[in-house]
Amino acid sequence: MKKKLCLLLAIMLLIALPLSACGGGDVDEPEEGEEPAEGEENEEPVVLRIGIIQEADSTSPLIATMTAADRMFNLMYDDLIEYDDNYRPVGGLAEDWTVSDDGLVWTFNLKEGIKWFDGEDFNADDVVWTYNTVVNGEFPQSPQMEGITETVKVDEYTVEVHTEAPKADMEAIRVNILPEHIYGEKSEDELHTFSEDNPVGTGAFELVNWEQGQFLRFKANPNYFKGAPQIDEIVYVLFANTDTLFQALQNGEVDAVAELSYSQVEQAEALDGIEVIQPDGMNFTELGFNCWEAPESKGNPLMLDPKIRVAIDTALDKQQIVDIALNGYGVPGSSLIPPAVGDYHFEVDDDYGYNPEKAMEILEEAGYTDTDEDGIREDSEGNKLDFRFAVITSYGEAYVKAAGIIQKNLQDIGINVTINTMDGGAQSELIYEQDFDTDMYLWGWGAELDPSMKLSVMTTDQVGKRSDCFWSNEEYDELFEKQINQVDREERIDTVHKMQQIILEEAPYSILYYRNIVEAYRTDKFEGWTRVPEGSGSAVTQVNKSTVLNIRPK
Amino acid sequence: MNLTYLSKKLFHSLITLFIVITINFFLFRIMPGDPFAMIAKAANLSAEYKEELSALYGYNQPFPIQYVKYLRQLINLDFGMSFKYRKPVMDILGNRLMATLSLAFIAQILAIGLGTLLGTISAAFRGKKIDVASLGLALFIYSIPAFWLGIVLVSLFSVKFGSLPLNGMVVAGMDHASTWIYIKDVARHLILPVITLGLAITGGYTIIMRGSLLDVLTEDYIVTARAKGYKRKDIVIKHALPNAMLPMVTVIAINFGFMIGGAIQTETVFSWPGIGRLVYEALMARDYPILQGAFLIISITVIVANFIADILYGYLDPRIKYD
Repeated sequence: MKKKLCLLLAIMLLIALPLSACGGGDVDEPEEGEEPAEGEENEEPVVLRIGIIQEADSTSPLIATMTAADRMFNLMYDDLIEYDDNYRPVGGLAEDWTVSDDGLVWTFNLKEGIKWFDGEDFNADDVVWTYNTVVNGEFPQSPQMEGITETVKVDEYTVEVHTEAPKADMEAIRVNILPEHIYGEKSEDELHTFSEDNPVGTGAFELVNWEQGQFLRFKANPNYFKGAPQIDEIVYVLFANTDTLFQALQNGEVDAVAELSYSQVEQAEALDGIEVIQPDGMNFTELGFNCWEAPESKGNPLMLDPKIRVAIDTALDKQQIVDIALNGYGVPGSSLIPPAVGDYHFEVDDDYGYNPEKAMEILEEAGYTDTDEDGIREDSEGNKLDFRFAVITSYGEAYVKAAGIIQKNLQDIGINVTINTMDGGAQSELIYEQDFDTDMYLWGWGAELDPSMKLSVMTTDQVGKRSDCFWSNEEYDELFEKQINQVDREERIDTVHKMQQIILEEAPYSILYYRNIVEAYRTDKFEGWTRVPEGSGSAVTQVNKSTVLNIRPK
Repeated sequence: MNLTYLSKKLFHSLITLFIVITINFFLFRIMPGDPFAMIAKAANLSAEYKEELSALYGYNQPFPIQYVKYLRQLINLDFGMSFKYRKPVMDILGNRLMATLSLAFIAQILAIGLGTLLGTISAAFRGKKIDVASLGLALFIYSIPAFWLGIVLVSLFSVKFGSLPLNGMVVAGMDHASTWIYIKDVARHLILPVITLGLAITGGYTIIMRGSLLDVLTEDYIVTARAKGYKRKDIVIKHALPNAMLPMVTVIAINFGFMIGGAIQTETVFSWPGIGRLVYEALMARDYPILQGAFLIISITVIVANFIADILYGYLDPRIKYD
């Protein structure tokens, strides 16, 4: 027995000693480590590496809901209509299109000679199947298709899309056309779980390998119908934290970063060979109010008074929120459609903005005064302006910092706010499952180039669904129906502006800010980075394929 | 050691496993939140769609039937389907488990080796300068947060002075011409995370090893050995160390289970595709099937590690018998 013990011990020590020695010795290794990986790659294809922090949730557009997935689909798939570099609609898979005089039938002529990755021809069947499936089922893209009744095949390369009423946002539909020969036989049930490991698309890049939690690798499609890409591969490298992501950009492990954290911007700008850009944010972050009028609402009924909500909106120092919560990388918010969207954004006049005196005046006029002198205003029946404020802590520090400023701003005008911190799931539960058991909350949305999606969130139809404030306004609903049928752009812009004005007057949201997305990319290794829209937009995460088609090694 | 001891321990482990499996089933069925909202990734669904999803995930059946089905699936290593990815949980967990195991295992060996060595030196030279130095070092390592150590290592050896990889398990998107090249690639990527995670637990091992060895060194049989004229080195290594290893085995077993799910700091710093990060992401997305699968795997690891520890115990200490 004793011998055995000694043997065991000896083995343990034997394993342990050299290992602990080499543990210490690893320190010398970097010198050795310098050559192998890079050296071997000299003969290898041109690879563009993009660092990301969020991974897609599925390779099927009928399942995925994350922005990260949209970026992947942008490489692999095409839509009927795409945006050019100035956000004008141009043909994607469609050669051209016409609309009937009554505005109810859209005829699309498809491009001929396009092949799927597996060699099959692309034709009208694919479009018909995709459109009809999305229209009739419940898929992430279905809301975009509202108003479409059916899509029919006219001939191999012509389809007709029929609508109930004129559809103003037909050209803004972004639904990836899927291969009917692969998806076609699946039942709707199966489509909710079916995904391909190597999806068959028509796009500029083909996904060849997705190592979950690590990277996604795309190979260029040499037969891409808009011209072959000038690089061989794109690899999305997944990072679990923004610090090492930045360091990887610095030491060349990645060539571009889709979203730099604000604290790294100055450091990144100081680096040679790296371009840092701040495209206008296609997003907004709002302070939302519980506007649910139904009797089961657990919100504070005082919040149903638009005057209080407007007073709160007026009392917020949004510039300070941008400066502190976003380190200044953003623009104070006003109307629902962000300025980056262009003409649809409603410009507020100079009167709008931070003005605590005005906020207090509004409250005084509406009869909310502090009668018992405890610093908190009451209504005529003595109900205090005392609100619960749900704040999500799991989405970074911006929400937490903003919440602190909001609390202080409101205290200054005699409104008390109690902050309840929670994670994102818990907040959704409060709103959707526990009868809206809070009075205020913070939330954010990404914006699309077409205003319909964002505007629809505030309609009465969406209460309990996509709406997060459960606000309802008849005039707004009517205008929403009107704009969706206004094919004349100028008229539609007018209506959309009116809708944003109603939201400003009723303040179901107080839009806090539009946050900048900071992108960084290496200009010493690659050229051809293209900003969309020209001059001011994004170069790494854009709505079209300009950068990935233009980019080439330097 | 005998067969009865082994079989009893095995039996106990199996019972524990069964209890864990059962708790795991019920835990995720009483968790708050509407699973359908999570599956559909949207609130307020139409009734038909809810029904469809309910059938898809088998939630439309009564509890006992779901339970039996769940057990039967487990036997086939089927952990259900992820809400977020809509893919079998096993597909997602499998790779992650390999990544975590390789990281945890090598880091453990490093820590055991270094910890035993430092602890033994400390105890053997108790009160001397070398004891103070090695104990000081151990306490220093012990108190460094793993994520901080990781970031410092990255900025030193990936950015400033070297080019050790700082992200993931392999060079992203690289074709590995042979298994050997693949192993070399993984090994290079392992260096920094292993040092980080290994050092993080080395401190604890050193302190335990030192304390345990000091205890043993005061026992009568050591005095006897010394009286017999054995060399000091032999006394420490041959006579004292085996007995002093006993508490270490327990701590290592506990630690190993913990590392499978708890290496999240290291995994996050180095973007290591392990279980810890997956659990965190699944928790954020309320992806219950993934959480359920991960919990089960972590539990199994703890149970297996403890089972091995029990066997080692019987081996290291012949006095341990089972009646």
